Amino acid sequence: MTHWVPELLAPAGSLEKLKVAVLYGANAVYLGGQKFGLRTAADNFTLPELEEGVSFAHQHGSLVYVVLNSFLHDEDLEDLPGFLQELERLKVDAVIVSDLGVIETIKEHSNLEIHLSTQASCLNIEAAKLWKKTGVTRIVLGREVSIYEAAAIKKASGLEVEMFIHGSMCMAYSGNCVISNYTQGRDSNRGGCAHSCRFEYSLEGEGVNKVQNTFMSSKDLLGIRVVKEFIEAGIDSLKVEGRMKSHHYAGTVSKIYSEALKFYSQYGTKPKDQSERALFQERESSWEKELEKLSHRDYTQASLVEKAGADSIYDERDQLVKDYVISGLVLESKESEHILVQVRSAFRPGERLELVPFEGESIRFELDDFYDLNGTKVEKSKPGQLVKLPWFKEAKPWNFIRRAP
Amino acid sequence: MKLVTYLSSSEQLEKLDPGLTSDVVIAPKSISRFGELSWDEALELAKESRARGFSAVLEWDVLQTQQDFSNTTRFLSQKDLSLFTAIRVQGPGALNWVKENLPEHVIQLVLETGNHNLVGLKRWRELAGPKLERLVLSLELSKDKLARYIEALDVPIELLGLGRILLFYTPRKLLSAQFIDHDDPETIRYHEKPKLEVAGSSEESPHRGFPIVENQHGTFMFNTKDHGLLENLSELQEMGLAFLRVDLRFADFMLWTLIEEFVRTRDLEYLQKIKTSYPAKTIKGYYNSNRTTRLFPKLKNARIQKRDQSFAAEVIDALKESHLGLMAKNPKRAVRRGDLLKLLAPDGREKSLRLTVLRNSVGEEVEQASEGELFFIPWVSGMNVKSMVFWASES
Repeated sequence: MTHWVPELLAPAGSLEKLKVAVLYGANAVYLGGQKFGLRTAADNFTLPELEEGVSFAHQHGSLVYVVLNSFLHDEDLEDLPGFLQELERLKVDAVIVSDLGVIETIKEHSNLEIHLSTQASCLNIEAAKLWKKTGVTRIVLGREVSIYEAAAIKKASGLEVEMFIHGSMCMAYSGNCVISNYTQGRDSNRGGCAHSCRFEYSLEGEGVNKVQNTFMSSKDLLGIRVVKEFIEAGIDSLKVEGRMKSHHYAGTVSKIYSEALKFYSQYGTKPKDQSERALFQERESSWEKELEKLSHRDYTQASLVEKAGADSIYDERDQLVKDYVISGLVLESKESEHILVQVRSAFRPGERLELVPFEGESIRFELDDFYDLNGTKVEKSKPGQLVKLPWFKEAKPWNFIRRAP
Repeated sequence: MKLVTYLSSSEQLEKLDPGLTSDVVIAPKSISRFGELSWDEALELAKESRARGFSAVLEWDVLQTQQDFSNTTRFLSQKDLSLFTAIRVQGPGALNWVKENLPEHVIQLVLETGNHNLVGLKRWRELAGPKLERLVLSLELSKDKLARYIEALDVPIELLGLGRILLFYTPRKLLSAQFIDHDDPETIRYHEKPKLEVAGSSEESPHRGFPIVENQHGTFMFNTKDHGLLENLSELQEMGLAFLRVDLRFADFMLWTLIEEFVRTRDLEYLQKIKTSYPAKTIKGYYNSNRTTRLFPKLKNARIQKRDQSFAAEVIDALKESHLGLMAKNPKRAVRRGDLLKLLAPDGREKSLRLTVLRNSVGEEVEQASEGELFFIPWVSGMNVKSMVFWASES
């Protein structure tokens, strides 16, 4: 018997990352086109890429949602109908929207399913009921909402509910921050966020000692320990932040959270006996360890269980860079000949690496001699270089290889 | 055009001229972001305001998740709100609840966050229903748009004329965490005050001294300069703006007299005095124009941006005097032997070439490479990793 589990929704910052996320287990991906989203500096998808992405995802049983979550001005809306028709033609599964004008335009020009973006900061039942009247079918709740509250919102509104489970977080109520607009001349709600909340500030005032701190910077969300609670609350979709992040990130979060969901689908959320309890603990601990291997700010559960407190502030300017770095991405597997790897960080013959397959345990191996494209033996690879490693059957295109500690 | 202001005491009320001001906004601390009034004080002020001929407007602008929101609605359900003429709400939850539970009250809907298109504004007006009395619009609208919206919306519009510009709002308490020393009773006592305000500056920003406030509702950061449109009063009046809000909650209310004098006489000497006495410099923000997407093209290297139809491949490996390794990128069209290509390096250099040979990773010649496939061509000087490859026109 299998138990119901939510959808895992992963970020796809590019066509390659879409493939990585889907192959590593995401049930759905979200992505942006060249306009109308909030990641102006990201790669984003051209229409041909979007077509290929939708086709690839659908072939693998995954859904594709397209973000149109900018707060658009009148002049931005002019180009939207044409894009909507393209999205409908490509059979994207939903669009993610935060602006009421965009919702109205979508309804007028297409039959696309509409999900309300977290940018709209939907926080309570009454808000959900109002948004329901606008025609949205799913709400991506504000990150301030707890799982318990989300269950109540779902029940009372009758809408599908999506919540963030992992990744970087805005400290402000989403859509309620215009620091970039006034300090950089860039509209944060049309894709120009300069991440001023991550800056270090000196704070001074009457009766307080001056301090210097990144007081507006939030730790990163980690929800792996409360996947069970999400399931029990009936949350429809678990979303991972990070369209600007690496292949390694897209693959790892997709793999780990999908493994967790498959596990709970098989066992349910409550261990039946002592041995299952031990198995649950062992698995949960191993998933958490895997997620620790990604570069990230310190983790927090933010407001998933109780309101985020002072311990959710990240007091460093930069992210932690982990020793567990990605060494390369498999681009091609030529049976009995080689695997072709795009190097991401340098490695040498004799080093211990591990291949992260789409499912199951990582495969550790000691690297033999390897060669460049001309067949010359490589003493030390360089980032960006293509190298040929000895072939082994488990390696598939879009797997990543990382240095084993 | 009438003035609107926040009221926090009877003394302030006495300064208001009912000929110039119609509404007073009363902000209880339990439901208003910067409110400092207890519920009883708010009711008393509402009563006094009505007695003096003003509309008393109850402000409910905190954003709350379900548990707190539910506590607020339970609280409001038990209160006699008949002294308030209108309820000013921000957030769709509060709007929906007031519509359904306080049918005798008119609604003033604050749409200052986003809401920069007419289609959306019209829909908000519909959703608010017949009880909608007023829309409060965003500071990011230019005067041209504002004029157009005022004409098209058919509901009275309010705009901030003078006051702080809110940049950031979080429910998390970010300041006390930085200052409280739990070993020092004096510090703890100091920070138990209902409000903590500091100035924040960052070396990464050219602006210094952002006012930052923490109170029971969270942490708020304001712009270093306030919003000031008093000198555009006549223009705003001509475009049909119904209400101009003057927010002196972070300034001295003594300024009100000067503001009324200026509104009454339009004498620029009063305006100068206001500017001198006002505690912050003011800007017009986006009133003249909003060009906040102007810099977007610079956020990406234009030379390595993809183009829809002619984008063929990307260089992912380059070995001098040997080869370029490319990945085909166009799902619609394979790269074929004989194609005329244009290569564009990140530094802007361009090269054209006719593709005479493509090889796969084991060195075999191939006819074509489809999307996602790797292929190799002889090295092209000046081209390196991240160079983009396009089909060139044959003409």
